[in-house]
Amino acid sequence: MWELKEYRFAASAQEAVALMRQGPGTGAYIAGGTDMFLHPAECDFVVDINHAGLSDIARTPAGDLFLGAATTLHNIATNPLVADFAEGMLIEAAAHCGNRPVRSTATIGGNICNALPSADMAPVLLALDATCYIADADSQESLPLVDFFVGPRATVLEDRLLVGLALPAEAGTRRCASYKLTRSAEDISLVHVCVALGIEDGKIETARIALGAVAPVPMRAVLAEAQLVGQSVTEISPDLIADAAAIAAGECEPLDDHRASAEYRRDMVRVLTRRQILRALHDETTITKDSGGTVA
Amino acid sequence: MSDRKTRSAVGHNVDKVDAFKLARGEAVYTDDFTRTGMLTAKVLRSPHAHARIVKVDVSAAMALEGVIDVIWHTDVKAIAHTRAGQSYPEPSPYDTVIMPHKARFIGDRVAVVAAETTAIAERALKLIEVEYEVLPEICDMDEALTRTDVLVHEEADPLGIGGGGKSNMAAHIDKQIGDVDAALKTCDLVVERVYHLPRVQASHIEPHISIAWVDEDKRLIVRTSTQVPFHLRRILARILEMTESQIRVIKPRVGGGFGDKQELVVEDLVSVLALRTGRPVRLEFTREEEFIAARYRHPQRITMTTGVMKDGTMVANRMHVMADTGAYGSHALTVQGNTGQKVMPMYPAPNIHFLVDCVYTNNPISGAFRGYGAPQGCFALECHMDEVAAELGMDRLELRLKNHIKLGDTDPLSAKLGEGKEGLERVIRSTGLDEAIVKGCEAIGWGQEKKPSAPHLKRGVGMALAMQGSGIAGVDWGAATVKLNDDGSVNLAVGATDIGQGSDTVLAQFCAEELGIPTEKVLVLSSDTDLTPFDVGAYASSTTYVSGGAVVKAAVKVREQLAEVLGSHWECDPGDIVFADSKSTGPDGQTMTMAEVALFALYEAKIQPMATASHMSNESPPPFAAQFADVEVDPETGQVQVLKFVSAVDCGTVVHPRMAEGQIEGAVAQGLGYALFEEVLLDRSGKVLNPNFLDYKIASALDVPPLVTILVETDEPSGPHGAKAAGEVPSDGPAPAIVNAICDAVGVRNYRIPATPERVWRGIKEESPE
Repeated sequence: MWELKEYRFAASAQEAVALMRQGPGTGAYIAGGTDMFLHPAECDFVVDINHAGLSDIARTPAGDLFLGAATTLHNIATNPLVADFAEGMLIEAAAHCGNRPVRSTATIGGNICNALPSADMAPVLLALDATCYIADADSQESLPLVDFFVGPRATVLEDRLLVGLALPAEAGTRRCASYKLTRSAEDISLVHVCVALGIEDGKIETARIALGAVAPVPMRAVLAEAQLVGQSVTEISPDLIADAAAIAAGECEPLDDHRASAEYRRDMVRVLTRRQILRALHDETTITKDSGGTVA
Repeated sequence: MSDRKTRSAVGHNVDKVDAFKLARGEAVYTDDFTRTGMLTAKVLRSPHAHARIVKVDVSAAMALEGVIDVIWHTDVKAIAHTRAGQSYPEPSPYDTVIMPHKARFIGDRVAVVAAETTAIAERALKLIEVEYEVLPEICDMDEALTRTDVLVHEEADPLGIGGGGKSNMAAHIDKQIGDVDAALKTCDLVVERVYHLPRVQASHIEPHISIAWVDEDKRLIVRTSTQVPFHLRRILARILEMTESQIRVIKPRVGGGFGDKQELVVEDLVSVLALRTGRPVRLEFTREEEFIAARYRHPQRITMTTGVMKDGTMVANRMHVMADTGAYGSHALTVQGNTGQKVMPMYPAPNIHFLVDCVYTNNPISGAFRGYGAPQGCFALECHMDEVAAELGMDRLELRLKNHIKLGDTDPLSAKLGEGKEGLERVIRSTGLDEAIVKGCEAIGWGQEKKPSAPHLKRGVGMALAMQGSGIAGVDWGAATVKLNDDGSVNLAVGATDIGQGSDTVLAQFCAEELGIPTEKVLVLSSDTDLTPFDVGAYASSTTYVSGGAVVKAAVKVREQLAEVLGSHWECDPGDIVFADSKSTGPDGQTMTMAEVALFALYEAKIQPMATASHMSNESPPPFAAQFADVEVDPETGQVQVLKFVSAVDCGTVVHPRMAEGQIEGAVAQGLGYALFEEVLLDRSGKVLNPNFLDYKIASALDVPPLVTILVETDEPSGPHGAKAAGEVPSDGPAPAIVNAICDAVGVRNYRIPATPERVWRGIKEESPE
């Protein structure tokens, strides 16, 4: 049983950090609380950030997308500002995280800060070059999401607070496809693959292949990405795509656990990366539909 | 026997008697109840798979403010018993005591705390110091069978323990009809395969929970979520050294049981603590405890050896079941017995051999779970039929049609195999199996070419046939009391146990039918050992068929009493009076409403129209099911999507069509999980690796495909209004039908379930290495 001594509310990010450092004892930030109730933190108090003004979703005139850390996954999945961003890949990921009751309370910040290798939102955000905004007592800094994770359940935060994530307008125009492989419909991922391709003049200008649940942290397959850059969208060969997928499979570092073996996960990275590249290129003839899983 | 058109209640979708209060959240479960001064109990569980509990120091825990009592084995008399909720004498070994001297699995009871709050109880658990003498553990069932140097149970005289304290054998069966070895030599083809069944948990929504207190008459009252209130009272009386008259067991609404509550799981602990402290005590399992310390469907390894002639005639069939009962032998003999007895008669070959080796291990405990062994056996046999057909080059449907049991056939096994003794002969007096097969084939589109929805996918169909029983012949019985009230309503008191399956409604329908009143005029009380007559409880698919028979008899008796009263009032032959449409009508057109009859009986004739009747059947007519799956498989990932699932079920007369469909649909969802993703994983020392719904997946609404459910009605001569059972038979076929469909799609068979994406992927990879 979770024996908490004090429940504190913060009205702003700065106050949250101050309340965290006030002591006595150890504290933890809480927003949706879904992961925290699953794995109760050994802490004396929690700082609730649901009323700290961190629940907004905004688009700048230039098209950048900002997601407040305390925004629920359900809000992301249903917000019109997010709907057309990156061909809907963000709302797809948010809409297939946990189940409806969980999404109503779980937040994107919590999903990222818990830093599980299988965090559902992480690969999508990595593929879209998300930047993290982190509050200190009287300052704020930003950092690419790819540098945010330092290990399973570990981030750069320490006692600072993630206030939100920003996605550049350019990422919102990429061709995208993602797939979350699960055992049953409501499950955490065995393998999660997100592909986002920035196209200019018929050529792949930017390539992002982000992988979940196949390494100590959500990761990008940068060598595989490099294979795709500069390729013509119409003339790219299936062999090159298969090669890129095989490279991605080589880049990941999956573990054996009771959900799946490392061998299976690695091969699924290969299969699903190939399929998502094809789907992102709108090659519906090669792969028209995935079966079984949740994110089609 | 009237047909459905002339029946007023049976066969109609009346309102479920508890539907509105359930939907409004007003129905009262065990935990929707409190008593002043109620304590919470928590169990300290063994971290060792096998260890003597040498000493338990409870002093620090007792010193904690708010801790009222802590017990361990020195505090409770060790009276050997079985926790299996079965009829006396139970066919399960007496291998259990309330607080064991030796922990036999990771999670076995070591000490129990009663405290003012849950938080204090949990804190107290951490303060208990235990000295263990750790023993070598045995968690592999083959090792358990051969080794005698490590014994899970070495009790000197353990009543009914299979191995007699000299081996780890918990139950052994060896029954043969004809001579299988000799017959196999004469066959054109012999096919042998091995099938592996996982350990799965029932995952009922409401966990195990009990509240006990001592009332003002110094009686022990146990309010509990159970399927077997009367068996519980009997077992509690014995192990607490009390008499049944000193104990009252109350079963309120129950949020699912599926067999996992056909067992004493927490009731003894709250009872002991309530008696010791004089305070009410509550104990509720956490979900983790459900996975560690409740009961599982027995994991089994089944070897099928089948001999056939070229034309498909089955000549000999052998099933060898190797099963793991875990640390205790609850239902060890009978579940494994059912694996063959409920399944092999589907194809009554002249030579049948059924062998069981069920062993103790230091793993968590197996027990009863919907289907009671039959889902395991049905998986093996129905997969095997496809394998035999493939080897023969024969159509798999044709092979089944040629060999399946038919009307008038004698079940070859039932006389040989009863509940731990010789059974009774069973002749099939009603079967809708052929009609179920025809209708099921039509609904699934059997034999039609099915195109996958995308070029990279493969599509296949599969089928399975299943039969079960309706109660345990010659063993299960129940009683019912019907009492007429002034307004023409009746009280129906039954020991039969509604655990969510809807038996209160079905029994009310039988009562209403016989008295010619609407179902809502029947007030059902179930079950309370002080207030309702005996019933064995909700298990073995017995309630509609067995308890229903008792209700029909009791209601007929009341109707006859009323006819007597009216016969003398109207001066006519009581046999000429008709009870229908809430009134009684005499031969000369005299008529009285049921309320008028009741008032007349109570205030003029001055009798209480009331009767109790008991019912037992020496038959256990099988319900039949033909089930079909249409699946799509992604060969590159191993993912399986069930596109459609068809169940055609013969459960005799359908008493409540919508609830029968609900039973079948729920069974399919459970079977789908069994087929595709449910598996409790243990490490080498028997520690559960996935004791939660994050890691142990059950089917959600999103996993369940469109279901087609067809009720094939037959008229069972021995059943109340022609009814048979419906609750278990549809849980047998889903796993083999789905796995047969996967094999049809990709040409690779999963001999082991669940057929997870990785297992399907691996099977395909091994079949066609690159």
